[in-house]
Amino acid sequence: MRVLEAVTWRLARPDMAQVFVLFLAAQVVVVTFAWPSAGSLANDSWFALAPSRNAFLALAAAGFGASQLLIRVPGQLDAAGAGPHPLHEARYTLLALLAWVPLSAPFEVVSHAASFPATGLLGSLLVTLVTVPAYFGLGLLLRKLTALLRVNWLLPLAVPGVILLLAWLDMQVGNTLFNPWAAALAPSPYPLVAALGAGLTLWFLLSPWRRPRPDVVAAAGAHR
Amino acid sequence: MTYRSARPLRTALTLLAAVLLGFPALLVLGVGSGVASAQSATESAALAATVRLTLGVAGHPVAEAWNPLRLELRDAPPATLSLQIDQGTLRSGAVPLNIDFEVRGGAGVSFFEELVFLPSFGALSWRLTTEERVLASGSVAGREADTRRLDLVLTSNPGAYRLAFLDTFGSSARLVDVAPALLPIDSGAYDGVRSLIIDGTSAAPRLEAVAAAASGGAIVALRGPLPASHAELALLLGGASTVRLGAGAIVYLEAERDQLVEAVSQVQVPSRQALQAALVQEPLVQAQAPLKETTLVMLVAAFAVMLLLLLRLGGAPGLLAALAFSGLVAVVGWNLTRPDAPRLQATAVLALGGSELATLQSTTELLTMPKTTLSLTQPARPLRPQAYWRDSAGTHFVLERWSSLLLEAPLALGDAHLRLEGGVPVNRGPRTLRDLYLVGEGLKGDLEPGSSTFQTSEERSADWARTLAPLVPEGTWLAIDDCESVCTTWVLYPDVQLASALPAAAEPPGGGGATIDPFRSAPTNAQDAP
Repeated sequence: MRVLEAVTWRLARPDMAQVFVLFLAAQVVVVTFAWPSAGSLANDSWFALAPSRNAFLALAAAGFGASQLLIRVPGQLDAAGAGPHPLHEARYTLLALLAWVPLSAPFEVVSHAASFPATGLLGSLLVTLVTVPAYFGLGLLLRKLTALLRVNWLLPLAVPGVILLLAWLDMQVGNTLFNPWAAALAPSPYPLVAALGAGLTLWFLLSPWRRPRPDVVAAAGAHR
Repeated sequence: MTYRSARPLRTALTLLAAVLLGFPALLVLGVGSGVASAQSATESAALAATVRLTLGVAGHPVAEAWNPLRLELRDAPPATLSLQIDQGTLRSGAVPLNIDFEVRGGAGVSFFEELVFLPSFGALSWRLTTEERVLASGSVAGREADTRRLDLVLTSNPGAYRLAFLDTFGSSARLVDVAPALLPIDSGAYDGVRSLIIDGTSAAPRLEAVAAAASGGAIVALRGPLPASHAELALLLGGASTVRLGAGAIVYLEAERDQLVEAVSQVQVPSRQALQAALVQEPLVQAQAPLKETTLVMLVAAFAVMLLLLLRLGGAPGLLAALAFSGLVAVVGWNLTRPDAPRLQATAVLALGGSELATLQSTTELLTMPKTTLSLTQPARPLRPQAYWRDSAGTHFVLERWSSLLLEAPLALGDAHLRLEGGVPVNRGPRTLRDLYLVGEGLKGDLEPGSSTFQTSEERSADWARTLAPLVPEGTWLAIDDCESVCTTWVLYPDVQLASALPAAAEPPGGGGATIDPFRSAPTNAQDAP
């Protein structure tokens, strides 16, 4: 229950709540514009919605990942001690982002049902599910890199820039390995690559050696 | 200077040495290649003698029609017969049609026969290959694609008909002298045949072949008096001088050649293409209409607002409720918007009745939602130019998303359910024929099985016949059967009427009302034996 409350609390925080509203609004707009008008039978709404949804989730996950304060080896509280432990913060942020996937799934389910693409729905939903932790990990990595290179100011540009770079790389390779836009549309190696990224992210966030020391957490609780 | 003069000398010596040394080599190469050429020429000649491909009736293919394909092999191993046809135009680009058949071959003479649709093509090439080599190959240039239907003549003097056909049909005449043995016995093979003239001066054709020609839509004209060897043809006439059989008709006249050809031009037979086009004017497949945009906007917006309210006001239980709500909406939305099947299919059959036979032309419309490769076990051809391939397993099409396809099957023969008996329509089928329509008079009523008495109902409607009625002559009967899955539209032409200027038809040989079914019991008279 404590985890559920923490995730709810994270979802309700203004930064995430605003982006979630934007996410829902974007899906409403996309599905409405892609829906066939009167007199037309061919429904291609899923082909617009699925890639935009996956790309939005990737961008949001990378963005929120890059906003985490996991620069140093965790196990220590943030300097001010005013918020939760950065590791917990990162975990709950990731869980909240993962909650976006089922919450927004009806848009994709309905457009998939009406469009009747050859690609299965489960595969498409699985792609979005592995995209979130994979790109969240990419955001964490970017944050670390920019911190190491002391170019934190570059972070707002680096997040979309790296995603665009990966998409460009895919086009050069001629296969879908990293591009979240194209990944939802057709079977490709992307789910494997994304699953690998998701596994690394989860290992990074959940491995025992990264667990905060109880005494520090207790001290943090007493401090709050 | 010396150096300069020495240089041309050296070059000349080098050339001389090269020529002297190289000539024998060149000679050997030349002889070798000559031998190789001769050898390959011998092999080709030998192979050409073992393989003979014939496309079309008597080797005259008709574009935009089903044509018989016949491959004759002698001592050939099992091989693959491949036809590559480009049915594209300058505007559309290449639209390939590939046909592959496995041919068994074997020792001695073997035949392979198949019915193929030949579109208007830009290029046609064929080859017969084994895994090791090409046994035979050939090609037909696009300019040889002729859409004119054939006028076949079975006579010892084909030239005598040329002028008569040119006078009557003009440039559309395509006269072909055919040997009786080359007449196919499949009615579908006569798709590209307009008429068949038999004057009794050549060997008698098979009764089945003549019946197949008539039922396949050709006008068979018998020029009497026919010799005794042709007596069995009278079985098809049943004592009359003109008779309809399936989609075609048979005429017997004792007249001059030009009068016979004139009679052929007067016989009205149904235009299958026009009737088929009218039949599929309205889509056969009715797809489920998508949800209206305005309804969709309201629903998705309401869902999004509900979700935000639950998350904002509900706390942790609100998150659980939002997740459950999303799941519920997904399930309901899936069931509401998902079409029942990924592919919708509907078939309409056009039945052209004449006597006891009907020629059945089935047209199928397919609407596929996902991109798919459609494989049909039966031969079929698309009504609009479309790339496809055909092999021993069937006919295959690659269809893009949300695309429809109209397919035509080769002609088939069946029993005529709607018949004219004594000038009165009778239902000889197992199901009720609905809304009988007599062109020129109007709606008549329904016909129960076995009945010739019209039943009237309140649900009568002549709307379905309005597209067909202008395409057929007055006195034609139209009907649709009480269809459950496949609707059959019956078209029954009135009796053949020839102009009074033509000489009165004499009683055909063997006349007097032969009522034997020619397909089951052709007479075996010793006199008729060759």
